[in-house]
Amino acid sequence: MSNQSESPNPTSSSNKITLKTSDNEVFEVEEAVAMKFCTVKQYFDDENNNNVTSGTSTTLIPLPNVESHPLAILITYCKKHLEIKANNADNKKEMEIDMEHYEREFLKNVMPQELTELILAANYLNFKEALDFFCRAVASAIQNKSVEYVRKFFGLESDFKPGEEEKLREEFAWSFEGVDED
Amino acid sequence: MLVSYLSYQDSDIRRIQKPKTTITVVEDSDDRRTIQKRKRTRTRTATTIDDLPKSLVLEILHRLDFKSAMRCRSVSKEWCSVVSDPSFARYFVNRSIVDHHHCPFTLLLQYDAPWAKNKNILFPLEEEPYFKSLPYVPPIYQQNVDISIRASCHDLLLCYAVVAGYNTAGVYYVVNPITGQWNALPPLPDHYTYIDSEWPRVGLICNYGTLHHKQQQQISFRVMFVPEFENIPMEFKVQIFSSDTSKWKAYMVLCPAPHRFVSWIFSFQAVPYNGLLFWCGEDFLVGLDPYNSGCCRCFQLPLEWNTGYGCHTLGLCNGALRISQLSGIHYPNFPAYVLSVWDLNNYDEDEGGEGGKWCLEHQLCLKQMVSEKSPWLTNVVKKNPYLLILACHPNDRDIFYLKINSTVVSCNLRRNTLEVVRDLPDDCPHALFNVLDFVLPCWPTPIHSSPFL
Repeated sequence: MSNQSESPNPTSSSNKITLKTSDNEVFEVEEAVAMKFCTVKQYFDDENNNNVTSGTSTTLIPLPNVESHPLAILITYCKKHLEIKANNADNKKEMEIDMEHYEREFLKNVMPQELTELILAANYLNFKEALDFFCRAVASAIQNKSVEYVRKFFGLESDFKPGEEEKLREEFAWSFEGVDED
Repeated sequence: MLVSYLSYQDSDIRRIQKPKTTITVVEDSDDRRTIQKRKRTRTRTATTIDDLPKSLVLEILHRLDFKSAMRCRSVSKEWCSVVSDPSFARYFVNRSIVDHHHCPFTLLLQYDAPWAKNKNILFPLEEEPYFKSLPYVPPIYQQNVDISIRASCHDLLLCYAVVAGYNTAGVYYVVNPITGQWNALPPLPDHYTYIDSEWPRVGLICNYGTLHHKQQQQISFRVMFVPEFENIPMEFKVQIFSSDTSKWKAYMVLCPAPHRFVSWIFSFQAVPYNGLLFWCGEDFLVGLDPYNSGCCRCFQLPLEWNTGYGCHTLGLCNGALRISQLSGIHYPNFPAYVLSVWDLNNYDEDEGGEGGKWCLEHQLCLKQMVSEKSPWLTNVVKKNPYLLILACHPNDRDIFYLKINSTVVSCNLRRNTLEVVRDLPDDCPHALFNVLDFVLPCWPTPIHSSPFL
């Protein structure tokens, strides 16, 4: 597990892009990383196109819907994603195995509340791989679990009127058989 | 030690406490401003799933298995509405088509004997949690009504309900036991006498195609009745029910080989395949098209087919039509029962003509079969017991289900082994049997109706 010591980023380019979060934190990231966030890429491209004539270039991009905490996690995930991809450029299978391994370890350090925050951030940034990963993570956490467990997991409360929920449960009684212990 | 994702101190992500330049965030819509405001006023850890818009709840629920997704309807009103949306069903059906998953299945074994105490008992052959109690009877029919299942297609069943003790025509209905949706069909036009026949020739077929393209909540299905033939017809009239019009309509079918199937051998339940409903005739396999009425495809049965002998099955295995025949029955001196199995290959070649080629997949003597777990079964098979072939396994090419005396047995045709599946009640050793496939798609097939449960 030597990958924690910062190995030189294979996609390294000297260009840095600065991202500013809703809570006014500023992050400086590699261009390759920032370009995985399609929302950032779009903004970046638009701005650059507009500025071609004026000769200036935009490097600071505001992200009014993302807070610093999820963004930091997403940047780490993104860097690792790019690194694994570059290391296994000619072997898709190897890449998938590495990625799976990394994701499994990654999840050990994430709280459920963080997952929903990350989903929101990944969605806003339009970072497809991360969105898919975090949604899969949430799905596997609630797969085959009781309704009560799912509610607790997300901090949700039932908003059904008395009797409504019972009726739903009766209609789909078979789906409540063989559920895992909470 | 791992993933220090909080380490913004990483060399290449520098966190700068105070931005050097003041950035004016140009807010392009009121909407965005509100969202931003809301986010700022709450503490960071307070993000719950309540903050997730519907589209993201959907992203999560799409990644569940079908059973868990159905259960999640009970989480909250919003989740219920997400899962109940027709687009949700479409997604699951599409995914199953793409992935070619092994969908859960069971074989419903139904018997009907006038002397039996409980007519029409279902015996799911596979132990799937889904199938422990298939509620195929709407509550309004639950008293004094005899129900029998007449046909199936995926997870839809065509049932016939008749009030016990009254000599009146019954009601046909199509039901999805998983969702509890059911749809009663209007009465068949009355000159069709076969409505009261014990085992009418009937088929049910549904068309998933409409689920992908249209914003509709139900799929379209057809029910087709074929009359009994008293003599040999060149063309004959069929009745087709369309769920699109909710009406029966009569159509004439011109059959290219009409003299080839005779009434008493024409099997009862049709097998839906490639948009056609297939019946096994005496020496032809006949496919009728309920969507394009009047169309008919015939395949001559294999040369080795024992014409005139009734113990056969027609089914689907790995997406191909599969027929089987048991020969050697009723002849005390005949050396043994022989089970032969053919698949129809190259169905799509030579469209509309006599395409399709039978390929003999298995042919073996049942006397040679052994059962490791139940040695008594090995002995029983050697003595030429009363045998029936019930059905082929829909996914495993080597498995067949047989009935030996009062026991249902699965038979591995490659390894020559037998295994007991379940025992049947004692009062039905010689009853008529009807075996139906029940294959649960990744999402239950939606039909027009109100839930009955």
